[in-house]
Amino acid sequence: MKQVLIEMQSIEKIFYADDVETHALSNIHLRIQPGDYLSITGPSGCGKSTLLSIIGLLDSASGGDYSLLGESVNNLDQKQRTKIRNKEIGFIFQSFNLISDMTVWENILLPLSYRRDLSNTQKNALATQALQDVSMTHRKKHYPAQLSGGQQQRVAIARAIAGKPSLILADEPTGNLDTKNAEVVMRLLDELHHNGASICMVTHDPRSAQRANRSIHIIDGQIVSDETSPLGKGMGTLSAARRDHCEVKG
Amino acid sequence: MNLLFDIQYAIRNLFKSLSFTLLTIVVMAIGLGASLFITTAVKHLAWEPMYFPDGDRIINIKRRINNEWRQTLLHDYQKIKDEVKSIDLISGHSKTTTVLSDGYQSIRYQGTLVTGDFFKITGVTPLLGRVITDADQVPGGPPVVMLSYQIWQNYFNGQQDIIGKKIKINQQEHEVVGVATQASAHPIEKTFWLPLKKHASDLTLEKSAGLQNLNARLKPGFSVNQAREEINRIFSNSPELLTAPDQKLTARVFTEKRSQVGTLDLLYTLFAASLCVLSLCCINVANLLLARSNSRMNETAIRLALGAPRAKLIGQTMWEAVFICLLGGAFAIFLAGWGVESTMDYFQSRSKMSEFPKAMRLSLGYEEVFIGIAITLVAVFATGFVPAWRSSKCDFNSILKDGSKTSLGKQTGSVSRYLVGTQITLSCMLMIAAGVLFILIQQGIAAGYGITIHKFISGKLSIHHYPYGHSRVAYLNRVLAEVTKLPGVEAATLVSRLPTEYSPAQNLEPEGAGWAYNDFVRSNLVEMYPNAFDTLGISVLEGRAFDQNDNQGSQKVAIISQLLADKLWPNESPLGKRVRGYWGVRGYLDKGSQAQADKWTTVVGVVPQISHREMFDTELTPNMYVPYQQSNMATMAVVLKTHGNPDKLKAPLAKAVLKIDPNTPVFDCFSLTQQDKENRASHDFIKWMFALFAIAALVMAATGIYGMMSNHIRRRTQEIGIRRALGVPDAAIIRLIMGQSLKQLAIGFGLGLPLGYLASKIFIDKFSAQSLLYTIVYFVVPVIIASVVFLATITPLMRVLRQTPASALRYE
Repeated sequence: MKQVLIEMQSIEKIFYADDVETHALSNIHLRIQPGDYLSITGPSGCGKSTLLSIIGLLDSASGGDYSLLGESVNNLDQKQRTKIRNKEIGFIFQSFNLISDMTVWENILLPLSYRRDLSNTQKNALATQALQDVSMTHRKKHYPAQLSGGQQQRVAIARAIAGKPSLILADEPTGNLDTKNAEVVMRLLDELHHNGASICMVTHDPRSAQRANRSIHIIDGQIVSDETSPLGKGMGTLSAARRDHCEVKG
Repeated sequence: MNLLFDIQYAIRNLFKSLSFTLLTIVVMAIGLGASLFITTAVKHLAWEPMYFPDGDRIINIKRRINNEWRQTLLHDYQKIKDEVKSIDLISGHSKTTTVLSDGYQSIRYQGTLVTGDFFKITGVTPLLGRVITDADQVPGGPPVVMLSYQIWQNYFNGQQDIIGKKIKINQQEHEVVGVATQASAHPIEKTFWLPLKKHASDLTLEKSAGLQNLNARLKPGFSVNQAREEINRIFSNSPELLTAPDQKLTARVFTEKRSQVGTLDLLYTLFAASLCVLSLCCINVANLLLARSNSRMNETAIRLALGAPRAKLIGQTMWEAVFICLLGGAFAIFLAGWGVESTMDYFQSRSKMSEFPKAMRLSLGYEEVFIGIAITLVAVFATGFVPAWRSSKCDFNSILKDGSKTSLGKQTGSVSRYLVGTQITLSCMLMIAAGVLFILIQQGIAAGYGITIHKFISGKLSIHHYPYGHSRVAYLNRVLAEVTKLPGVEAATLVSRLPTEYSPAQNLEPEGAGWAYNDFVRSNLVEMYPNAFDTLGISVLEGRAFDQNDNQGSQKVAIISQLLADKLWPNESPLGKRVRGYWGVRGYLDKGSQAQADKWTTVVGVVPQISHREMFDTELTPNMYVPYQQSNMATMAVVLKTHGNPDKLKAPLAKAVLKIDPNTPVFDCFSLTQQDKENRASHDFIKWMFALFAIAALVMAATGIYGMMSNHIRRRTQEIGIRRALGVPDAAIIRLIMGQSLKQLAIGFGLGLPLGYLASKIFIDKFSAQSLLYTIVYFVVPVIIASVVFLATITPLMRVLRQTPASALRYE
């Protein structure tokens, strides 16, 4: 039996601003299996990104239990959480969040550079592979400002997948992209899933959400629906994504 | 209308961030205030001509024999007056002790003996009567005196009919011929002017009168250098002015102001330090404004996109600098005014003189205020232009497309880094110089004079009117007996010069050495009563102390300091050896004929080397002590060693002395502690000023670095969030940011340490270092600055690291 990737029980998140208490998440129960392609949808301010932050150990829950790969993360210190983020989780953000002073290659190499279990050769090989997977090898020496939005997001995806994490977290990955570039990015995610990656994606876009094989809907900080579709609709391939992208922009 | 709007907008922005505004105004006030204060001092002491009419044309002339300073003689005055063509007026004057008595009381004032064109040169003008003229200079003529306004008011209650009255000065009737106006008094405000009544033609060179000040007025169109060359040419062709044939006679010629103020190198060093502080302030404010303009880059971009001309944008951004600097400048003027007043109070409270020399007085007037305004305007440009110019050059398209990650951020970041590098350099240099100076001066103070001074009080007695020989000795014996009986007195003695005073020096020749004149050893000469060593707590290392048998009829004896013994007879016992001093004209030391040389004096004892006000000097002058009964100096100091507070003996001492002779008042009566305070007043002042500047520099550097790093880290908050989201450990982020600070440090130290060493070398060469303790500064200062940089970096960084990565990612 496969080990459960994520197990959340009664997760709560409360924000305090001055004297106001805001319940961003309430009583969240969530289990994610390896290989899941999960989309999280809901209206603005419903707590989607907060949930993603907690899953990605970017933030801590105010209450409840959270286990990752069978280990409770509730009581982990910053150092341990950092280590897990570095090795087990890959992030894709809506605004790409590439470091502007670093080249494409340096951005991709950044999370790998802190992995002690990999030699330099392995790190370079992984980064090269990730660049190839998103068809950005020819831009490896460019800076983010020299790339289009779609290209920047492809680099961000390469950075997220380079370390072969257990889980890829994507927060509105197509939110800042036009339709064609968005399609390219979604196909990349489909391909990653097809190759065995576990993906958890927050999105506003129903069409993107439909590509996942499981979709949860959040309203006012609570999961109101959790639907599974055996195959999802993400049928694209990486090669198709590359071809399409080349048609959009070089 | 637009201008008004810009001003309103700038004011609104300043009020919006009041703490920032207040901080920058305080920073500017400190920098501008410090520089205005020191500029005022430099202007008064160095740049301004003497307060005489045609003050910029008045020169001071001093005699030099073989490149050593000697007192100028009446013969020099006459020679220059007769032959030098580059001057049109010449005068000499010397201070003299004068005792004014009316049968009931005697008061000692500092009198001024004058000759020649003194009143024309100095501008001393009569309020009543007339000035002293050539007719008054006739030897044997009726004694006359001109009173200063202060003495006329204080002693004579401003009697309108004072002219023509006879007053008793030094036991002799003098007719008052004039009263000077209050403003024109020179060299001090409470003085008498008396005719010198001597002419070079009536005297041999050996009997010539000494002139403490010889002034001349340059003819229009002649420079100081031209006058110097002409006087030197005449001196070199005047063998009649030499006291020995192989002497080289030259003149030291400077402007009168320079001569009054003395060496200015420490003042100029202080001036340079104040400019460093001002630069640090400007850099600091510029950096803060740069950070501010960076945080408002979106607004700038919108303005540019809407078509704002660059010049307009620069002007608009500079308005904030204008207000900050003007307000800082206004406070600075008050601060400098307070500084000037406090400094005058400080020096006057430490001065033994009844009044502070006019040439040394500072004040903050209209001219200084204008200088303050000019410095402020320079500061406006220095602080405001760079941030305004940089922000006007931003790539507004990028900013509007992608607010937080912009080219402007990088540009201003690099400018900011240059500014911080400069701050570290300047503060490092200033702190090293200040630290070394502080240690050197403290070491000098700690070394002291070689005796414990805090129990002593001394007062001067001038006994010129007692004939040389027995009557002087008899008078002083009576004084000593009387003051020894005073309650609270543990012991009393008489010496010609105390360790807290400079001492006249002589050139010494050891018997049988056959030394050439230039090899003679220069030594202080102190005359003393037999119990002086015992009273002052100076132990005799070898031989014996003086006793009552060392009198006029006995063999001439001397006790010398260990340093003198080592110089005259290295590795030999000096006891029984003989030495003689060479005395030039008026007690100053030239190689002369046998008639000028003393008799051979036998060394009977050796004492430790005592400093005569040389605690900061690189080389000590050795001492020779002789018994009073064999010398009979006309001015002696009565010294009391007290059981308690010596200042309490001041009045009883004066009373006891007057009891013996009402016409011989004690003067310059001060505790040795007070004299010590005066001796080190300027060193203490410079030491504390440098310390203040160093602290200001450190604070400026700390706030500047903190401001830059805080801004830098704030701009990189999102990036730090990304790194943390990607699993970069906090330690790696700290290393990354610290690495950038370290780069600034390395650049700052790379320049600051060598500059600091060079600046401190000025002080090391100037002051004697008792040990190498000062070298610790070269290690401590970098550690302090590095610690400050570390704190200034880690504080804002930890603020970001305390956030969750999710918050950092959301940071805008």
